[in-house]
Amino acid sequence: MTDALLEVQDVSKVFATGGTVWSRTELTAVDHVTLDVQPGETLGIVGESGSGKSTLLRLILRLLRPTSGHILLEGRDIWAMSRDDLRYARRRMQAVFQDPSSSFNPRQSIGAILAAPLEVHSVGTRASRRDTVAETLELVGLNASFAHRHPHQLSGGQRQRVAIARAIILRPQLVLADEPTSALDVSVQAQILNLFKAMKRELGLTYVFVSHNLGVIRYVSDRVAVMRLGKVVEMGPSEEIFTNPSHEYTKALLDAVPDPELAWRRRREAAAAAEA
Amino acid sequence: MDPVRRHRSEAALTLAIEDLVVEFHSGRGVARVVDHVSLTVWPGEIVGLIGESGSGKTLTALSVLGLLPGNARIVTGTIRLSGQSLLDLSEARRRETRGERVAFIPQDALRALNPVLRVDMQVGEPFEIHRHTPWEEAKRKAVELLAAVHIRDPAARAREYPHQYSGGMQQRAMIAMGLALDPQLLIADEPTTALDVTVQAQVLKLLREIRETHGTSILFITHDLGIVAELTDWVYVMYAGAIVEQGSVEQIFQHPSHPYTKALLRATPTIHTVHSELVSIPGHIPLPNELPEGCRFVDRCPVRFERCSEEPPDFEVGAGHTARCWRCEAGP
Amino acid sequence: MSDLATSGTAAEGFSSRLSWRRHGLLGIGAILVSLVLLAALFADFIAPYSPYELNVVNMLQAPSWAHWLGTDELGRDVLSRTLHAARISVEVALVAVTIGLVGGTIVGIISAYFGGIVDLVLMRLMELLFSFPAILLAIILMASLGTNMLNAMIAIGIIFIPGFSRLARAATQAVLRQEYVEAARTIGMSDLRILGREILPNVSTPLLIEAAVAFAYAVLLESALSFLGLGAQPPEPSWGNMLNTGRGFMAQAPWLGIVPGMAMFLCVLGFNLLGDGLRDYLDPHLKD
Repeated sequence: MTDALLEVQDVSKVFATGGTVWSRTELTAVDHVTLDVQPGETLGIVGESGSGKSTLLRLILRLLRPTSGHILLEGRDIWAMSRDDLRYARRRMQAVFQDPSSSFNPRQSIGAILAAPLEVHSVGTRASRRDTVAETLELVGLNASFAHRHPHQLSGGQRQRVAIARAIILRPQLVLADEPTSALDVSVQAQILNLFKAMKRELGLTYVFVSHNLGVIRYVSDRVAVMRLGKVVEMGPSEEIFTNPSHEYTKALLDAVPDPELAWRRRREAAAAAEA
Repeated sequence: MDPVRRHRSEAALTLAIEDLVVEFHSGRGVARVVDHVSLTVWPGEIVGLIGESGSGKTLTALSVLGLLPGNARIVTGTIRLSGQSLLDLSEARRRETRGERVAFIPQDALRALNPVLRVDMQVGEPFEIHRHTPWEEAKRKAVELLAAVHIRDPAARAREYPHQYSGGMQQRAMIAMGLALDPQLLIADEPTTALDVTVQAQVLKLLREIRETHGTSILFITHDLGIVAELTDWVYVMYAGAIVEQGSVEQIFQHPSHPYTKALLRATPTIHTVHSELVSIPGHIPLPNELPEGCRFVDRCPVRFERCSEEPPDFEVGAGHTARCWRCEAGP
Repeated sequence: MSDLATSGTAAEGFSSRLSWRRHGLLGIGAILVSLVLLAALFADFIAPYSPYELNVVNMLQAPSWAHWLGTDELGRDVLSRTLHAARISVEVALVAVTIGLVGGTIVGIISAYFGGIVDLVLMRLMELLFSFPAILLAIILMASLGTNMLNAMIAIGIIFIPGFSRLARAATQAVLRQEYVEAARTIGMSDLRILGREILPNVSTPLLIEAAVAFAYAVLLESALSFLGLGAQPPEPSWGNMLNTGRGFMAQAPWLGIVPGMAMFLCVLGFNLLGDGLRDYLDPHLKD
C-alpha cells in the first residue's frame, strides 16, 4: 500500500444544505470512501448523478476539505503539508475538467492559459515557456499557432485538447479527469479518449477518470470503482467488474446501458420467441 | 418492423417528409442546414433519427412542428401528416395540430416546464386549449395521464410543482403532456440525454409501452447508437444536413453500409466488448458553409476515391436499405 | 454540444457589426457625450468671453448675435459660463465615479470571493449606505467635511460605492461558478492572482457600462449640490448654481434658467444613451 501514488483513507464529506442554526439539514456527498491508485494505472470511477464522484475528485484535488478522513499523495497528507510541499504537490497532480465552454478564462489567449501553470511554479524563462507551450500544443495534436487564439474560437474537441495540454504542461504524475468527454460528439470523443491513452503512454501518467458513461470507463480503465450515493459499492479490475459484477447496483447499471452491439439482437430473439 | 414497409400504400403514412430544404438567413449569408431530406414514419413505428451536432436532425423535427427559429426558412419540400400537408396551413391551424396530432418532447424537461405552475395545470393544459375542457376535468385527466406514465401516487404528485420532481419524473410529465390528446406522432428530441442511465432505461421502456398500447408513432432523435439499437425499428443516419443511410435497425447494425455509419459504430465505446483502439474519425464536422464539393463526408472518409468528387445518389443495398455512397453502387 | 456556435462567428472584428439602424441610440449618446467632453476640455478656447468678466451695464440681455445665449444678472456671457460649467460637472463626475467604481469593485469582489462572515459584514455595511437618500447623504457628508469641490467629489463617490459593489458581487459570483476558477486553484494560483487575473477582467464589462450611467447621475448630483449652494461656489459657474440664480429671474430672463437646464438634460441623456447602447452592443458579443 505504501507505494500507492494516491491514497484515500476513509474520507467523508458532509455539506450543510440549509435549515436553521438550530436544526441543519445535511447532505453526505462522500461517505467513508477508501481507495488507492497505483502508479501507471487508470482508475475509473463510475456513478450516476448524486453518486459523489465529482465531489470525491474535488476532495482529492484539495479544492474541498474532507469532513473526516485523509488523502495522501505519495504518502503525505495533503492537508498536513507545508506551503512549499503543497506547491510541489500541485505540480504532481493536475486536472482536466468537463465543460469546455467554462474551463478557460475567455479573456486570455490559449498561450497565456497554458503558460499560467509554468509561471505560477516559476518554471523556466519567458522565452523557454513559449517553447514549452508550443511543444505541448504539438503533443496534443494542435498547431503551435493555436497559442494566439482565444477559447471561443476553438471547437469543443480543440478546447478539450487544450485542457489536456494544460494538465500535462507541468509534467505531473497524476492526472484527474472529470467527465472530460461528456460534452463532446461521439466522433470527437473517440479522438480525445485516444489522446488520453497516447499521453499516458508517452508521459508515463497515472489517471483517475470519472465518468457516468460505462462504455468510456471500460475503454480507458484498468481498475474500476462504482459509486452510489457517496459510497464505493464495488471496486476491482475492469474486466471483472464488467464481465462478472458482484454488487446488485453494478448489475443494474450494466443492464440499463443500451448497447449498440447486443440490443437489437436481443430484441430480434425476443420477437422470434414471442412468435413461436 | 417489416423492412419492406416501403411497399405499402403511401396514404397510410403517419409522417412523410419529402425533399425538405431549410436555410438560415443572416447578415453573414445563407447557410443550408437541412439539405433535401426525405423521411417517413409509419403508423405504430418507432423511427430513429441519428446524427451528431450540425447534422440537422433537430431542425428537421422543428420543421414538422412549425417551430423553426426566426431566421430559418423552409425553402422547399413537403411535410405531410397522415396525408395532410402541414406547410400550407395557417399559423392558427398549425397550432391546432401541435399537441392534437403531433406532440413534442424536448431534451431539457425542466426548462420546458413552467416553474410557477402546478404539474396538473400544465399536463391538463392541452385539454383546455384544444378541447375547451373545463379546468376541473382537465386536471382530473392530468392525474390519469400521470398514472399512465407510471408516476407513483399521481393524485398527490399532480398538485406539486416541477422543481419537486426528479429529472426522470419531469421527463415523464412531459411525455404525459405529449400524450394528452392521443396524437398520431410523438417527436422526442434527445429526451434522455440529461438523465441517469437507469432512469433512461425506464423512460425508453415507457415509450415502447406507449407504442404498444396506443399505437402512437415515435420519431426519436438521438446521437446514441445504443438507444437506437434498443428502441427503434427504422433508422435514418444524418450527417451535415443530409441523410446518408437508412434502413431497419437490423440492417443498419448488421450491414452498415455508409462509411460514416461504420465509423460511428467503431468510434463508440461499448461495455460488452473492449475495443483495442477506438477508431476515431479524423477532422471535424463541416459547417454548412464549408461543405466539400461532391460527397459531404469526403474529407474524413477512409475509403474515398475519385468518384467522390461528385455527390452520390442513394444506392439500394438491401430491401428498403439505402446508402448515399459511391462504394455502394454495386449493390449489397 | 453544438460546434456551429463556436467556429464560424469567431474571428470577426466588432467593427463589421455596427449599423446605424441597430445602434442609432448609441451613436446619439456618443455624440452628445463627445460634445460635453469637448466643452469641458476646450472651454478656454471655445468660449467667446471669460466666464468671470463682469459687465453690469449689459445685464439680462436676451440672446443676440453678440451673446448667443444672452447675459446673466451680472452681465456675464451665459454661453461661456455654460461651457465652463461643463468642465466642473465632468471633473466632479469623473472623480466621483472613479471612487465609486474602484471602491465598489473591491468591496464586491472580496465579498463574493471570500463569502461567509466577510460577505455578511460588507454587504450589511453597503445596505446601510444604500438606505440613505443620496442627496441627504451628500449634504451630511459635506456639512461635516466642508463645502468645496473636492468634498463634493468624495461625497458623491461614496454614494456610488454600494451600487457598484452589488454589481461587482453578482458578476463575481457568476464568474466563480465557471470552471476556470477551479482550474486556476488546481494549478496552484494564489488567491490574489486569481482575483486579479481570472476574476477582475471578466467582471469589468458590466461595471464599465454601469459607470457610464453613473456618470450621468453624478452630474445630476453635483448640480443638485451646487443648486443648494454646497458644491461649486460663486463665481465658479456650475449648471446647478446657474439654475439656482436663474430660478429668481424666470419672469424677466427665462433663458438664465433654461440654458443650464438644457445643458444638463443633454449631458445626462447622452450618458444614459451611451450606457444603454454599450450594454446592447457588448452583451450579445459576450454571448458569442
